[in-house]
Amino acid sequence: MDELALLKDMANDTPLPSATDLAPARARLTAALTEATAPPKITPLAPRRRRRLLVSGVTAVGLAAAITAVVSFGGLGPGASEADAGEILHQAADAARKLPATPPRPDQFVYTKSGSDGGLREAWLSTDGTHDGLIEQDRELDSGRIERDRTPMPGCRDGQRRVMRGDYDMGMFEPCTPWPAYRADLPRDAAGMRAYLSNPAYTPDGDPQGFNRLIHAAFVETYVPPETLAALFEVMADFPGLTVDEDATDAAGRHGIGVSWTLPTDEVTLIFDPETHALLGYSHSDWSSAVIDRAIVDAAGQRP
Amino acid sequence: MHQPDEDDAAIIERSLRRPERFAAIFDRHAAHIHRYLARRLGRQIADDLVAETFLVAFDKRARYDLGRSNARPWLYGIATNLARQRQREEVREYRLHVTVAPEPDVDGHADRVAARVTAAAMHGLLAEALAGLSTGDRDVLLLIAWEDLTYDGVADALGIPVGTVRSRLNRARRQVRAALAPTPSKESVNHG
Repeated sequence: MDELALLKDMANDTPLPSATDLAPARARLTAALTEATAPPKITPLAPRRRRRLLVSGVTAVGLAAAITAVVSFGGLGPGASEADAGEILHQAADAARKLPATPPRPDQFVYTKSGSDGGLREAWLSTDGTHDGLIEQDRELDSGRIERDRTPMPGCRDGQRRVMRGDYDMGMFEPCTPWPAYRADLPRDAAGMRAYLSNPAYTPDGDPQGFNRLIHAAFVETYVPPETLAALFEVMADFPGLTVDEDATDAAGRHGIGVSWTLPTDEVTLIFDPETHALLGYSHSDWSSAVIDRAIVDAAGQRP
Repeated sequence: MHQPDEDDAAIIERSLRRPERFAAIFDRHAAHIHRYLARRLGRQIADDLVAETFLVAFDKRARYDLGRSNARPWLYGIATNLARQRQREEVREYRLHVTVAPEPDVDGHADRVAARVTAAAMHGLLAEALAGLSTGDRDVLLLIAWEDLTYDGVADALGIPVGTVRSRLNRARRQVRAALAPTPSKESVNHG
């Protein structure tokens, strides 16, 4: 019996506690959670953030524009049906295909500015995953002040990545594989995308969570070729049970057309600009995120 | 309620806006964190520190690396820090109250496990050996031997590179072996 086995043997004296044993600790935590959920902290947040997002150069689409958009979609009346949802997604696919198709250089960065209920966030991620990127995220303190966290994202070069704890450089390296922010590897047509999504790794047993993760990868802080984005929308257009919300609002307060599908315990909505059909943001039942700006830039920290 | 297949990162992300979601993190991991603390410090202290662990985690959740789908190593790291802090406080307390029955080796690198586990002679020896380890080496050894964390998991929990985990583990095992070796026993311990 070696020393590790002896140690394990020694630890066997201690069983896992029961839920009853843990109840007092859980009560302490939930009391703190309830306190943190109290409205005074949350309510003043939304208007302030919304105002700031709006002055950041984003066109706010007003009610009038939203109405125009409904007309331009061709008769999205009160009884908007699945066919309409499909039509919106096909138009979004068409719009995506018109996006500039020049692939970024490997030494460039995908810049994404997004707003969510968690705060404003800017990310610079290396297109090939080998360069040092950066994420800046606003965080609301208890005092109501906003603090900005800067998190370096070390690139993975020759299978090695610098070890960071937050913004502290440990002065060491760890093995890694690069994580490219430019996803040139995804299928670029609807048939290919459908086959790709039927891969159990993404949709095990039709698990929509897997699909969610892919959407997250394709829409949030990464850059996919326009054809890939278009292919995703085309595939989504065939989803059963889609619904349309003609006056949806994204996390930045912008109005748009929402296309939703319902999962067993969640509802996912994509919000499109009613005029350009560009994707503005997405939301879950209780979480939403809006892409405010995205671009390819030459350096981490550089804004377009 | 959270979805059963939602990973820890997703729950933590949502808890930024919906703090009550964080209870799901407790429900998933509290039993293991409690047992770890109980093994190191005894049941009574574990009851207290398990709550503190999750309160600290909740406060720090905005900095959680959302790329990590399993939060348990992160929680082990927080629990380990709290355990160390508690040990330091207790050492101070022992010095103030000298009448308290002496715990072996409470100065320096004492770990309460040394005092608590005396069930078997071998366990006593082991406990002594553990008490003789440096704090960092002992943390690595116990997270691997008791909590079945991988090298990566320990690196993640303690904020140290994997190479350091490996070297600390080697040193700790060598020391424990050496401490066990001089005492002949039915289960003779081989020299590495």
